[in-house]
Amino acid sequence: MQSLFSIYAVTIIAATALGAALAALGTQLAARDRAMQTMCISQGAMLGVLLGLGIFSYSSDIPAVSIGGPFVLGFILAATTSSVSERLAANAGSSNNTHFAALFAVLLACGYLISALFPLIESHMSQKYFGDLATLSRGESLAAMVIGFMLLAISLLFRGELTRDSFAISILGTPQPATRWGNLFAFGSLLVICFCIQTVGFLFTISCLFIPTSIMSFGAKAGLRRHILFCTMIGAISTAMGFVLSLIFSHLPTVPTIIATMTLTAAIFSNLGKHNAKS
Amino acid sequence: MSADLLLKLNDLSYGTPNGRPLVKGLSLGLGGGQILAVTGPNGTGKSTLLQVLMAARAPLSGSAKVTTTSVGYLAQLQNREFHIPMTLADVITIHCRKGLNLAEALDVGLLTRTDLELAWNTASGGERQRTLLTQILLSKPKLLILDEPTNHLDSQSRLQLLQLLERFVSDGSHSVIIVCHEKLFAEHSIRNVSMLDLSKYQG
Repeated sequence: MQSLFSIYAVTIIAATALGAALAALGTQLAARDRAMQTMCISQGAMLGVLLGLGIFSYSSDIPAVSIGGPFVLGFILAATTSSVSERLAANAGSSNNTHFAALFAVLLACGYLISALFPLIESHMSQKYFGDLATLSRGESLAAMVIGFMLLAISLLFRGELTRDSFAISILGTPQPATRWGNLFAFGSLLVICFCIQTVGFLFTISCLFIPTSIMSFGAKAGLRRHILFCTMIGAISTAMGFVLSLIFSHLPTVPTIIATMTLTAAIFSNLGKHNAKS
Repeated sequence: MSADLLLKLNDLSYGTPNGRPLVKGLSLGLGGGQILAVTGPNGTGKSTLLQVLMAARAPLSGSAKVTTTSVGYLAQLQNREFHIPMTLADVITIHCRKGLNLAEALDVGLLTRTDLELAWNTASGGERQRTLLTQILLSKPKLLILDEPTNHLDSQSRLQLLQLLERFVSDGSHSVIIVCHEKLFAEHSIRNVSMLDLSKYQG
């Protein structure tokens, strides 16, 4: 067992950093009412990554092309999806979520069509959707670790500035602010989502983004620092615990075990908040 | 009154986004030490005027010039809940400079220490409105533009706000433009108020 942990040490640290960072990012996306739009953007990124795998993975042995190609295509399609969804939201007469759900369905169907065009990527497709952290290469793990820690530092150090923009969009009705922070947030979150979809998969990405902040929003005690800190801790603790559990009990799949642990951890943290508020 | 104008409107005409004219031929100047109360029935373009002043909408003709960059703007409160469970102190802190002492927020006079501990999502409309006004006033603007700030306030809080605005302009260098009900200033004795009834300028 010890040798198993030493093999996966870097991957566990990388996944833990990414889980914590995504949970912190998710608080801002949820505060901007962007959860359903993020599902669409993630699906757009998935479409690009699958297309890239179909085009580049089997035509090039150069890692920069076979890994970089799907990432670049993923980013282009995620950015296009983001732009289309913004236009839909701006012109929507009814709830944005209806339009986002329709867009998601179209993108999902396109993903399946791509797998029909490139039958060799069918196994990649399920891996990109449901993820398997244990199969991350050392290079991917190191990249995930760097991106995870960077995103975590930015999310925690600049939580005031990011929350100010989220508050302006959600409460004061200001459109996406064209400030340095507004642009950086939009661009940065697109990059992170694309990277995560390509490396750790759709399910892990969406779960880390929205499960902690969704459950913690039911906690009784208010406080910005408390909410972001607790979400980050839930992301980190549950990713590390879930990963280790799936290594100990080898029949447990990694990502679903992490998500089950995350849901339980978030419920415990949320109820701790309620207990503290009453006492 | 200061000779320097903070706002100059010159034969201003503006309309709805689809081009329907709302207001035509509006000219005025607003100097320091004045409160300009913008009134008129629903749909006369009161909030649209503020959007034109904030350069969020272009006029159809004429010009609107705000001569200071130190502007505090409070849009109509939609009374929505915020996903992150923040306290009212958090709302003030995120909008103000780093190292703000919350005692400064209390000095503005619209909130008590107990108010600051309330959660945004469970606070009343009045408490939310007073919080947003406090954070705007902490940025020390020269020109304050307020869109129906008394909407969720009880009569005591309304009077408190109007007295605060009166104090705000009393040094002669600050001004306020406030969209409100025509009876608001008739009900209270506040100095240095000019009324602008937009129903007289309909296009």
